[in-house]
Amino acid sequence: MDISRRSFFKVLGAGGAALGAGLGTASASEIPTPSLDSLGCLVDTTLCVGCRKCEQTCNQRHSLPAPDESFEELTVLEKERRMDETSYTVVNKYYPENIGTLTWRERPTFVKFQCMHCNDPSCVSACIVGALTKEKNGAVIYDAKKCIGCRYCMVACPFQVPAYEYEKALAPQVRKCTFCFDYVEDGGLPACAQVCPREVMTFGKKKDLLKLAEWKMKNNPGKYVDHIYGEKEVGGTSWLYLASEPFETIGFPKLSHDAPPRLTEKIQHSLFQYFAAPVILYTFLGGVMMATGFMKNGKKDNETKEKISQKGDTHESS
Amino acid sequence: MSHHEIAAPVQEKFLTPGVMVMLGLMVIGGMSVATRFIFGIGAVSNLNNQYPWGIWIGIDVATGVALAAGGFTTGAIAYVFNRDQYHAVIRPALLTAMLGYTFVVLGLLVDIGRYWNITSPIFNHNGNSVLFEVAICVMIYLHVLYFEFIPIVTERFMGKVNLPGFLSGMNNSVETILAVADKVAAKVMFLFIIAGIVLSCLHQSSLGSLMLIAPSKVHPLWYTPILPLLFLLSAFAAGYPMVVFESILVSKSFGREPEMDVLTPLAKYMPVLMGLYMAVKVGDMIVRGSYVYLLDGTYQSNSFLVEMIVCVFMPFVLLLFRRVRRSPGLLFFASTIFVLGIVLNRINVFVVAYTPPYKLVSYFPSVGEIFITAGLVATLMFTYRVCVFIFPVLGAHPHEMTRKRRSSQKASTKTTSTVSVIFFAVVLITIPHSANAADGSQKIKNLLPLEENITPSIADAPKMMMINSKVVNKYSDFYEPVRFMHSKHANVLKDCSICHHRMPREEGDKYGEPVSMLQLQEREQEPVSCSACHELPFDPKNLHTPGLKGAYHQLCMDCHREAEQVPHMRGAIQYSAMVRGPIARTLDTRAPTDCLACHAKKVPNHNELVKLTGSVSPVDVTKNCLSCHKEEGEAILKTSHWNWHGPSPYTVGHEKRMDLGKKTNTINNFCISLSGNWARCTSCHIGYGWEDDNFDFTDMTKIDCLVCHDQTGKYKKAPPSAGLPVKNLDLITIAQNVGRPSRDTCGMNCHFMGGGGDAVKHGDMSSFLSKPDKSHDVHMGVSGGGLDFRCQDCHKTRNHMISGRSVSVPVAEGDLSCEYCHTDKPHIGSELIDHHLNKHTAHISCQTCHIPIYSKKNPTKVYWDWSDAGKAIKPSKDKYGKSNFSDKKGSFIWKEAIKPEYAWYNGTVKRYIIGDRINENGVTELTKPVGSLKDPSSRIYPFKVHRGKQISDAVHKRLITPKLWKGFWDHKDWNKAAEDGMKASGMEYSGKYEFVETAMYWGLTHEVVPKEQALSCAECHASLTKAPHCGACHQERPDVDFEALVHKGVDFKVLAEQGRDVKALIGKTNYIDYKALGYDGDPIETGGRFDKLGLGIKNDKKIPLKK
Repeated sequence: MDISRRSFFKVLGAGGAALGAGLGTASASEIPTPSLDSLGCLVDTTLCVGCRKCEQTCNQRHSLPAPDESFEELTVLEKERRMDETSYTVVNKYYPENIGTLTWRERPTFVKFQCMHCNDPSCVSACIVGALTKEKNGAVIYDAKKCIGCRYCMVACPFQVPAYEYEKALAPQVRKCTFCFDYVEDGGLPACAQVCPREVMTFGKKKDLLKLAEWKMKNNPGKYVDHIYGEKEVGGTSWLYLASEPFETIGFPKLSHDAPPRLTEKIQHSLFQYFAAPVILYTFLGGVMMATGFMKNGKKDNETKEKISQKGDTHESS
Repeated sequence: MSHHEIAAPVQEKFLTPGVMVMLGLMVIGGMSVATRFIFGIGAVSNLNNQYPWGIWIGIDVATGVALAAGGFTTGAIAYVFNRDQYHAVIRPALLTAMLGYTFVVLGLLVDIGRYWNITSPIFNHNGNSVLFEVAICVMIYLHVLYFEFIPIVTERFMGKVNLPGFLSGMNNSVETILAVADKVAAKVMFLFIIAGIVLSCLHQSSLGSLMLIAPSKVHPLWYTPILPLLFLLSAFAAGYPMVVFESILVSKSFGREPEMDVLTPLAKYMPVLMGLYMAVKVGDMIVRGSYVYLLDGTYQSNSFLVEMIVCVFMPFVLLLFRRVRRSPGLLFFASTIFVLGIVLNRINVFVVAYTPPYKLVSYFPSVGEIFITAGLVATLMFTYRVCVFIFPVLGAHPHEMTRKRRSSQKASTKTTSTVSVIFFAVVLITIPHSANAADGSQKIKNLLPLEENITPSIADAPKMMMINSKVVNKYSDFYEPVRFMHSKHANVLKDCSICHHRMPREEGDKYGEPVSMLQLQEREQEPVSCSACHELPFDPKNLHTPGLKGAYHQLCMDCHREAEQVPHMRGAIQYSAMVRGPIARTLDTRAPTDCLACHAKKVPNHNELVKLTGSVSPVDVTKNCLSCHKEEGEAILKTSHWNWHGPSPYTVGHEKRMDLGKKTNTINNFCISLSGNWARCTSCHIGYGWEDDNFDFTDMTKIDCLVCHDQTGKYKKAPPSAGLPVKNLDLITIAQNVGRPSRDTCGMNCHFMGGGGDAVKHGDMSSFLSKPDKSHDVHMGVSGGGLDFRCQDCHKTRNHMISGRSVSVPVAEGDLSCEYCHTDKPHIGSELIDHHLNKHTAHISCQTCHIPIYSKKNPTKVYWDWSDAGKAIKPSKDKYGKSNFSDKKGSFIWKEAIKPEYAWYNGTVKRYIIGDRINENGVTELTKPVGSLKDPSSRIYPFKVHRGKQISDAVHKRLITPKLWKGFWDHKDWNKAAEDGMKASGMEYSGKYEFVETAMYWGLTHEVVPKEQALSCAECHASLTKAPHCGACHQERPDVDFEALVHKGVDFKVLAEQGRDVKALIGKTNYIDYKALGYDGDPIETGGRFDKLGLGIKNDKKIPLKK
């Protein structure tokens, strides 16, 4: 093989361009600015009595399969449950730690869980095909048409929300709370907030909800723990929670205030900014290749002592 | 490039026992794959919502990619750094990489749920997604690998193309294509080699970035922002050990001499790369401080220790020794251990380290997952073998081992592979074990004396409010309106501002100011209604003001707190202020907390639900009902309405029995007994066809749903048809319009008609209650301000068990008394007399004063003489127009607007049970209230007493249950009727009968008059009719007329003018007859039963119970 130096660079450049074009879809990272005008819900867990009406209405609105036991069966609350492919929201019951002791006089805490609709959702960042999207009104919604079923969203979600139809052989989908996107867009209410008899959930703009949460804490001294869950967790969520018990004891994961996508997207985008890294590596390797005489083909280097430089490392070895 | 001379296809025996094993694994794996594609991922795997990724990602994909690193690392050393001596290993490494990546994609197709959409990333880009980058990189790299393989194909076939049969004509063109491909490939190959290395670096590292999105879910021993760097370094380090592992394995497999001349020099790079990886990893661990987890003993830390010490540190140290690098066995061992370490690392990062926040189930790969993974690996190895047999991949001039060398070599490789396999098995076994072990861990005095002058006053409060707001119903309409007993709550709470907690300061002020009762009274201001502030929910301007529905529920449920909802978990029991006093028991004292206690569920429109056509029988209707309401059907089977017997907790001497009832052993002095008279008596039974003793009480299809749930008013039971309805009813229309029972279904169909006609039996119930006015019954009144209660508003019902107590029948399915709503201190709003009235409640039941007369409108039977039956007496009509004689039944006395008879009653009843001996010295009392003046739990109750004469056995001295229906009423022969009837009851009849006097007490609780028409003080207390009336104790007050006050109440004069038969009662005092009740006289004068009373005590002989 005889390739001139000139043609080597020509082809090398073309190859690099082709490689760049191949990966040319990576765009600059858009850091989502959490809009305080987006909508959300403030859940006051001290109000919830665990009637499961939210579960029932959600099930009906989304035409989910009927559960084995009716929604009026409240003994199911004795066991911790999570959302699954047949339920977008569940209510769990958490007993205070001193239950069963003489000092126990407190009510259990009921917590309604559903998708938190993060400001900077890990699932949206993770989704390989953009099947999950964060909408302007705050909802994180799913488009089954794009989905390939890789379940990376489930891996990514810090709240373990998306569920998957494992039992379906054909067209399984990722299922999760939609924040009743279509209804809310039309000026309606999420099914759960609409039906809740106690108005455990207050539906409104996030900035108003934060004010309300602070108002509630200020006006009910000693009632709540000093923490609005979801205000800062994972960069903030559309659903906010107030509670009278520490959040770790009522089924909430303790999470960093950093949104996980910031790290991964930073790595991803700095690596692919202007395609610098791949192109530099490509050029570097090309240079080494030329220097070691690959082009001259067949020139045997029989030296037993050789310098191997890889990623700038030099190592002497026998 | 032309190294044609160094590689050639293998020419050995293809099928070996090892290959057979591979084929076996491929078949099992193939079947598992088929199962996955036919029945879904859930059918073969243990993947779940907590663990979305398992070994398919951890091994098939992540490990697959890592172990294919040999491809680019050898490419780098051989081509980029142009070390020709390594060309011997480049082809096997390339083939491994190509097949490795191909199988990564095949593995992904199994794992991703929507595999047909695998091309979606090409069209739907998410540049933020690490997985997107990995996917695109792998896709391109796979094609690069295929391209790099072209020279091997051209080398094998160029000039040797010899297609079979008719295809042979294409030999030349194929040759041309191959020639062109070879030429092009040769010219640009270096581009692809570099591209391959760049792409590999990118996705090998990005594979590590994948888990960075889940910082809270990955164990801190593995989670580090430099995970991508660690993945890249470990891939670098894995490349050469993989080449060594593979080369020696292949050599051994084909019985060749290991290519130590290439492998030993290659091995010297290995500790460098391993050391670098280990240094960065340990450094990162120290910087992040994650070493604190190292010795916590969890399966995760143990797995980390194995990964790092055994699988990285150990091979690193070994490979520092030249002896190890030169020994095929030891080199193979060290390389294999490191390769396994990389496998373990990838499994650790993707599976072991993964800690879901809510771990409801744990994950361990299922047999199906393992089969598929093993099948894929076997297929890969098989394909590799096929390829090396076809293509020039392996060295062309193998050195055959000498027999001696071969056996020792064999032994050493065998030992090392055995050690490796055992090691890997141990790792696989320990991980699940430790995983399972870890699962175990996880007022004010009134300013003014009389409240008539006070605003607001509880006395002015509305009695009951129907909470039926459109605002509430806008968003959820599950329930019927709430009948909110406002005065009941006002009575107990005594303070309006507990609920009416805030008042708007001006028009439109949503937040308002907090108010107190004192403020309200000072301002003479009535509290505002809830809806003054609370409207639709989530008003952005007033988010702190709950909507009306929320406000109601929040306020109500602050008192009605969860306690009852979970039977075994009684929390803080909220003792209800509603029920107090001697009759209250724990269960009754809790404020209701379930939804249905306050509002009934709306009955859906049954038009669509009832799917009946054509002519249907009543049983067909029931079957249709049961198709949805099986549970309700089962509940009915347990009720006394169905069984006509049940628990008799209030019948003295039979408290624990379940069998007392009409069906079995009670008797009355109307139509006497059920036995033998079924079809007539059972026409009121809520079933179809109870014609004899053989009725099947377990057959749900015989339940008559319509008699209670009919809303059309058309459903009627035929009188003597054993419960069947009248003919020619449009049952379908009736069934399609079912709803909640009403006074018409309970009353008009049965209870108002007890005894076979209107008001015959019950003194306090008649057809007039269907639409009475308030003065007839405050609760049931539909006009004049009555509360329009349905029966079940008081007779609370659960599982078709209807609460209520009766004197006449033994069965009780739940307690009920006036106090449940009115409390034992019910009198409010008139401070001067409330105190006196509320003292009465311990001695006198509510009914005594508030039901001064019974059967106000419809005459009821009070006397029935069966001994006249069959006699030739000429019937005549009484003043009410009722006949006083019937040939079949004997003579009767009817009465209207009757003063009740009063008796002490503690809630229990003495009852005549069939077979009991009669009272030979007087009247046999079929039911008699138990109680006495000296019993503190007894109070004075009003009763209707029905008296009569009925047939009795003259010898055995017990009441006879005569067969009347199709018996005496046909043949008029008492003897035969007695004989047949006693036979049906299973008792012996002596053949001689007599007629004995009986009496039966009937409690009075319905037809409660408004308070203005209750008995006045003067009607009982003669002492108060004389001047100075109350003045004997109270000082004269200019604003109070004591005489008027003591006479406030029912005025019989007015009633008589209205046409009621109450002339005899006008001006009556000592209404309840103190002496008959055991008092010496008017207790005001002679003293109460336990206490001295007030002033003017003339008689203090009584020894008070209290000290």
